[in-house]
Amino acid sequence: MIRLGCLLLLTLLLIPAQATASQTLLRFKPLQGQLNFNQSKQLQGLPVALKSSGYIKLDAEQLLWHTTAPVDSKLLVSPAGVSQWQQQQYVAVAGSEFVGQLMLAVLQQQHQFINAHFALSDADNDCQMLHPLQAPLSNLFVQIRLCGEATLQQIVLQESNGNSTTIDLQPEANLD
Amino acid sequence: MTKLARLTPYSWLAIIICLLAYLLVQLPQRQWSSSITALLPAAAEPWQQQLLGQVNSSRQVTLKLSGLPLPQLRQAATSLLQQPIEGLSWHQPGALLSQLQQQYQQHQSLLLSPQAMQLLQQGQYQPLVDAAWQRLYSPAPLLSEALSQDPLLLTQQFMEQQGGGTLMLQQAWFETRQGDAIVLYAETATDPFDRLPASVLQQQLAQQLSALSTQWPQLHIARSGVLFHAVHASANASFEMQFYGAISLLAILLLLVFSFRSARPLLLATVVLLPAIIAGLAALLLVFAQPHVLALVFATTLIGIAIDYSFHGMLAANQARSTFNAMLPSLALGLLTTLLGYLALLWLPFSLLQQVAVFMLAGLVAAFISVWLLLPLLLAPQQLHNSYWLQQGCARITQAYQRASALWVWLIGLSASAVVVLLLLQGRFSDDVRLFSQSPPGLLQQEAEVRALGAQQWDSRFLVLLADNTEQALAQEHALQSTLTQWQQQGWFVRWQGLSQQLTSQQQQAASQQLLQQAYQSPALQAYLSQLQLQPPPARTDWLTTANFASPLLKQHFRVGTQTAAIVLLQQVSEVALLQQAVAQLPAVYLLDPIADTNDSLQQLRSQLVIWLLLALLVSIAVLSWRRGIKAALASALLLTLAIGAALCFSLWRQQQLNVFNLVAALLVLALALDYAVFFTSGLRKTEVMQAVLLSAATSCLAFGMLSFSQTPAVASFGFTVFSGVALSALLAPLLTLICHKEAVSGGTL
Repeated sequence: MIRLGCLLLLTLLLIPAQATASQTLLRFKPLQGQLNFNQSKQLQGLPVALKSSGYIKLDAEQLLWHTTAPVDSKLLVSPAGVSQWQQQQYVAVAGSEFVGQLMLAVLQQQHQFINAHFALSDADNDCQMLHPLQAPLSNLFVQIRLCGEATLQQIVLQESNGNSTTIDLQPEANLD
Repeated sequence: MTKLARLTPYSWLAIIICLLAYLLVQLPQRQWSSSITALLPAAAEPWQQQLLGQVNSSRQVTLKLSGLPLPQLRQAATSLLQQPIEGLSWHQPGALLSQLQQQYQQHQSLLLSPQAMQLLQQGQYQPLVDAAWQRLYSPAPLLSEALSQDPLLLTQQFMEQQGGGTLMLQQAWFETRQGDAIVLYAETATDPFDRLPASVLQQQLAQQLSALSTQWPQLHIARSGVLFHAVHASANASFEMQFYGAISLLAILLLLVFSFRSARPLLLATVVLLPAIIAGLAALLLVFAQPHVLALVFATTLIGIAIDYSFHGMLAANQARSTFNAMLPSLALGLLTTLLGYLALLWLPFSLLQQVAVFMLAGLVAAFISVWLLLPLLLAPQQLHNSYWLQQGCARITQAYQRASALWVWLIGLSASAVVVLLLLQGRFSDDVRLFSQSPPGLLQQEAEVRALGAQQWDSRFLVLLADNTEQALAQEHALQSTLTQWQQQGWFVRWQGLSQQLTSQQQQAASQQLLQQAYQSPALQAYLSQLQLQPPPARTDWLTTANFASPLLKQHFRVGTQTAAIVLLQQVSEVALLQQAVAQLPAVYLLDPIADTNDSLQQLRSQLVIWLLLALLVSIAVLSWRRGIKAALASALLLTLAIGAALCFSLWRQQQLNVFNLVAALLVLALALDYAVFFTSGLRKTEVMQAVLLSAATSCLAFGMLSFSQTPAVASFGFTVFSGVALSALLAPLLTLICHKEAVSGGTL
């Protein structure tokens, strides 16, 4: 009887703990459909930030990153890898591979991927910080900042070489 | 008896003791090889052989860890890497990539993709500018100081065009995209075919993997690499050698006890067998620096043949000294014909057969000398009690054979030989070296599991570019890139890997600098640079060369004589014939296919063996004709043809196709069956001959028959053919007495 009581108590203690952990993981709702973005890229040695905008199309297994201004550029992220639209066809791009996978994981809130590669911590102003767990990712990024209330609204990629990229997201319905 | 004659047996014993001392000194120091392919003659040209000797793809070891969540898989992988094994170095793919990126970062704008180079050469700058803008606006990170050193981001793009593969790279391993498996790569310092160190290494790794499995019972580990197959083959061959050797020895002992009901024949047989084995081993070590374990597996059959001699010697010496002396010439003739069979093997360009031949030649000569010198010394007439039942049985069998009609024997023998030859002419031969050794299904399944992941699993075929130096090799490889990409797009292979994918020649780097300086002056580039508020960077001269570039791909360049050979690895080659045709059109480019070369060598060897088999048969008939007359020689030839042909037919029926080892076995059947023919066509008493042949055939059948259960297909093929051939020879040989009875002289000699 005492053993059963202890078990019940333990279960009651564990349920909220797991719920808290899940809440930390499920900080943002997974995104689907089309989103618009504004990107600002601050590069070392450039006096002005490089600003661009476009839209993101999210399917169950792939992501289309379409920059429409000031240049037209398409990046397709799928389980097979990342490819760029060049001369009327998608060409595989090895370097952007991880960023593509990261975007897909962040937007769809793929916890397994994020937990496998980053340590998560809460920050101020409805933000979460992702710190790369190991090289070679830690050689590329210092941290990744995810901000938003219920849904993800801003991603800040802080690179190890001092460059940073801020991506603001807006669901298409909020555009007008 | 003269003093010299009395001293001769002791001199022989002294020689054997010296050889034994040599063995005791040499055996612990010697390395035994276990690679089947290493035994085969090379069909390739000398420079290709030299290159193949340097290419160490067989040293790669791959492990796949799965069955656990990714964090636990990482813990398991980390735990494995934290316990270093001497002679095994784990790859650090992440560290290598970081190193590569750092080198590119320090030499930006020097390395350009072929497409970018082409656009620069054609003066088409706008596509380069557009691509740069696209890359700048991509969220992906850039190399440090990319814009100031390489405003068009061409080196960045060159880097990004290098294939990423299907696995995700981590610091010390690769992970699948699904995060359900980790793949670790390592390289062994020693040759996996070097039995002892490879076995120690494999055991240490197996212990670590076993510890991981104990700690994480759900962990699934799949292994891939020549190391695992080579160690298994080597351990298997060693086990079979000991097991089948022990079984045949036991069978011989039992036969002796059954025949003579005394322990004395055991001593007498040992006196013949031990010098034979000692002499055989000593000759093997004297002639070959690194003998092969398979040679010993085949050579266990020495026990079977040498025991024949001791049976003939014992039975003759037990009767009378004069009978022993009358038997000796027949034994010498048997030895001569057997030696001829093995000498044939010595002339073949096949290291394994040469080793077997050397072992057997020395062993058989030693066995004969031991019978000749030691048996009369150790066995006085009538000292052995010969089994009455066995003698009676042999006498009855001999009588039974006498009832047959010589004419019918001729007719049936000729007809059966014709049928057998016809059947053999329709038989199929396989010259695929991969069929000779077989790994356990579990290991093959693991191999397939790792290969299914697709990364860094290269085909055994590869391209080689020959050039005067590394610079030229890089330039040639670079020039071939577009062709390679075209072949890849046509589906001839899935992927290729060469140093030129990571590094271009110095000449090309200089050319790219010149073209870039021209490009910076163009209106398109001027506008681009001004928009970014950047100044055009000056031309660089700090070239990136093989001297200051670090990459594992540098290992794909080799010095071959005075030339440099650049290797281009290929993955999953599917159109070999088309690739061969296309490569044949290119100057200084070669497609090397070590397995196909080995198979070609085997095919040549097979043709040579057939010729040697016929030649050995003719020489034996000539020798028999000289000593026994033409009729006996022809009858013996018929016996040999029928026994060898039928043995090959049985093997064909059992294996569906014949291989080179069946032919090697046929040569041995020839040697053994000739012994029987020699004794049955001699004037010796047929009951004693029958007893000796029955005993020796039974022991040989046991020794060779056992080999047919070997897990190594090559050994099993050999064993089965010899078993069938010897059994048939022993059954048919007594018929020779019918055909040749006129030549036989009672109590006769040669």
